[in-house]
Amino acid sequence: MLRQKRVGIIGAGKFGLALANLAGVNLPVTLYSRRTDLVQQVNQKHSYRDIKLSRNITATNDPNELCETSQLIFQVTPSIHFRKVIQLMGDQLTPRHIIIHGTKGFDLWTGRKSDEPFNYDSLELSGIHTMSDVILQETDVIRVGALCGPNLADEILQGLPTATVIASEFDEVIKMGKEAIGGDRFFVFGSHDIKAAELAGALKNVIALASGILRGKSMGKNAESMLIVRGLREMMLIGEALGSDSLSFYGTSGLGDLIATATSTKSRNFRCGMRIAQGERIEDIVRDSQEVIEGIRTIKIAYRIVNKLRLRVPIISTIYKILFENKRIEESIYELMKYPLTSDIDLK
Amino acid sequence: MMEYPYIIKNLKNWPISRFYSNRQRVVRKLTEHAIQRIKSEHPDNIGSILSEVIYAEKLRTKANPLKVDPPKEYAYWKRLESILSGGVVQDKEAVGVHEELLQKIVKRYAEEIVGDFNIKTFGFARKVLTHLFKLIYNPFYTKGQAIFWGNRSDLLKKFDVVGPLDHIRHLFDKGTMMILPTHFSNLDSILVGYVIEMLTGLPAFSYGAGLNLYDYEVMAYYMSRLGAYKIDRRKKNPVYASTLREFSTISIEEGLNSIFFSGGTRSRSGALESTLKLGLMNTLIDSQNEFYMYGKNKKLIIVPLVISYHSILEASSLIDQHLRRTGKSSYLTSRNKKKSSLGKLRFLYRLFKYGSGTTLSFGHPIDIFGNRLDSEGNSIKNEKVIDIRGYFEIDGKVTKDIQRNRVFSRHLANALTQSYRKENVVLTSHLVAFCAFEIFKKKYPNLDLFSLLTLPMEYFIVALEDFYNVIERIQDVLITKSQEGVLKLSETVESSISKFIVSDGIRHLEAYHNPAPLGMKKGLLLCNDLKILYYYHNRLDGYDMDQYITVSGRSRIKIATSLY
Repeated sequence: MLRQKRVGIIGAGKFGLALANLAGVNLPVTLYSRRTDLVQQVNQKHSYRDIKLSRNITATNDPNELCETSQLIFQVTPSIHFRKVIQLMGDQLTPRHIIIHGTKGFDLWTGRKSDEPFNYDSLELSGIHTMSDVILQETDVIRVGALCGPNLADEILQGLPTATVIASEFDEVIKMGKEAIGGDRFFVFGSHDIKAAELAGALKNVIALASGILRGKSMGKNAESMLIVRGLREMMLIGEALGSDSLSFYGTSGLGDLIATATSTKSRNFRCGMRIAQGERIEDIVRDSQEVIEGIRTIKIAYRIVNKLRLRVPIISTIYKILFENKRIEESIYELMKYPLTSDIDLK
Repeated sequence: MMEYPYIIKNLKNWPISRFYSNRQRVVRKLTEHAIQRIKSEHPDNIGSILSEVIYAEKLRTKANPLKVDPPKEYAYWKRLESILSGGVVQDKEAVGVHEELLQKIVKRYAEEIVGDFNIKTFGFARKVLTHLFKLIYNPFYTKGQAIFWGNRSDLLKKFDVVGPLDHIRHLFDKGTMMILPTHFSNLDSILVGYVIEMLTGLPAFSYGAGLNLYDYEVMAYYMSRLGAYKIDRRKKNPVYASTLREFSTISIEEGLNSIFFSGGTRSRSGALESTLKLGLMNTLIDSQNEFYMYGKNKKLIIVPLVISYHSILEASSLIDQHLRRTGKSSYLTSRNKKKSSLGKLRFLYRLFKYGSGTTLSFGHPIDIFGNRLDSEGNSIKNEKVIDIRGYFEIDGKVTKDIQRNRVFSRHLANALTQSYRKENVVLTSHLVAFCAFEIFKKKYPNLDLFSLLTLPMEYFIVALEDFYNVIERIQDVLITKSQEGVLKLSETVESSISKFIVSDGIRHLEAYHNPAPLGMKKGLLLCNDLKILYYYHNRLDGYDMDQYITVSGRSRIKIATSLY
């Protein structure tokens, strides 16, 4: 029995802490992290790595405590760990729970053992899952949602205004999500198209990498905006092919998120693109980064998806070749400019 | 198959017997609840709803009357119309008139919908049904016996019932059991009710039967005693729809085990249902929600059921409706060739000689979320018992949220359609029709379905040797798929040689169709009715099997005018 209404948060990265602060304004929060030092610091000092945290937040590394005290749980862990973390919650997650995730990436699950090396070339579409798929597969929870939008964690932590989308088939998930994290500086929209929101959230990171490369090469604002528009079109093509409504990509969780991520130096993916343009190796960038750069993993998956579906997406294909086939950036830009395409986005 | 003993021996204790112990009580309750439902659904416009109902009913009585309709129906609705429109000046008076009319109409519908069950006449009605089915299911099967005196167990042999019957029987008293079958023939409701009660030993189920069936007086007499309730598909007005929905709700609430056809209507294309009636799903979800909300621990037990006939009497008109609906102007209907007297005689001979077989394939019982139920009725998900009450909870309390329930309804519909595909039993007639139609389609790759249907039958032939090869290949694919649990196979499809499968399939296909859809002559397979073939072919559509059928050069474009 849930004794007191609380909000649970799984994941204490920057975005997880930002969400905990937003929710802490409205309700008591239970923050789950496996790291004991973080749990101690949050509970004793109400801060972590120079981030001041609400006194309404209690941290724990006990999954039972999190699941027992909270019906509504936000999960914001990197896509690569998402399945493992939710498996950790195990039987504690029951039909009464509601999970909203804020992870922008894909899960790869083909039934292989975790220590076996993963071969992207043999990846089938059936092995690619969104995070809501993972929740449905791994738990007894049905009421799920996805949090997507222009939500750069740094800006939220600074208290700057922004908006987000909670996408879910269920109105009550959207409503509870709004009550938990909505506020005068954080506007929450609702959407029923969870698939589109998740795809947009994952794919925009790839376009952010490309945009970062253009910025790194000082190609100018014209080129960046052209890339964003054509990149959005490619995201929509993939979304349509995977069965979601492409119109949803024009909303806050699509275009809104894309503009923020593909133009701001606060975006990890954008910064990664800039460093690639300056000739740094991906391995070095990944090693230096304190947080996961989702775009690098996402592009490997997106490239397989477009090949399987035989989609014509020149930007995504080019980025893949720059990142993993050592294609020269200048040559790639030249090729893209010569790409035989005459019509602009058809808005119907 | 063996006949199971009754799980409840005393018929008085059957849920249907208890439910109908006082029919007037049910009519009164239905009237009262339906009026409440209509008022809550249309709080501000009862007047316009009533006028819509009266207008639609006047049209119906003129356009589509049935013998079973009450006498002087048009005059009745005309009278209600004059009450609705005449002499009402004050709003207050209007409310009174609306109340009175709504009460009258709903009571009239309730009296019509609610069925009856009488133990004394039930036994007699069942015997008559046995004779009726003997007529349909091959009376000449037992040599030397006349139509009405055939052996009952020979008749029951005609029904192949597969699935976890022991489990279903064990679960019966663990909740309210709902059987949700696929729907292919007008015969379905009576047949399923009859077979379940005769063979499985479960208490008689309540089911909805089309009012058109009651047009035959004898049928009407027995149907009303078998616990069937009436559904009039001509009445599409909101008051009738709400009354009918409320009847389902009341019967579920009172624990009446029922059969609901989840597709709502017969499959026109011959394919398994892929879109189900969400209204029914809503009723199931809302009922379960309310059980929990009012502290009842009762669970709805859903049993999917796939009915497979070798051939269906109304296949021709069903596929015609489907093609007209999907093809619109592309579908050119052709006038049926006039049948010669000899042709008619041949048809009658085949009908009585071969009859037809039917398979009832029960799926694993599930809860309203599609989770399997264990022997105690617990829901099992991810290999553990879960409490589905939690899905209706907010802040520790069970609440009713219509939007949430509508999403659950869609999920239930998906779970059911998936189950139907798995429980689908492939019969020889389906396999033969599927392969023949795919070959003919691939012979003319540039033609779409509707162009293909306009070609003369002389264009559709294939060498029998080639056809046997295709059947063998698809048989292999089907065996693999059945081992993977994708679908089920009849014994003949699983273990016979292709030659036997083909002759058995053709024999069954021709039982109800004149001309026979497929024939064999001089080493060739001939087609006489591509539409019918398409109908039976559709039963195996969607299993990705067409990719295994290729047309060899020899079979390509050969016109056999001389053979016709």
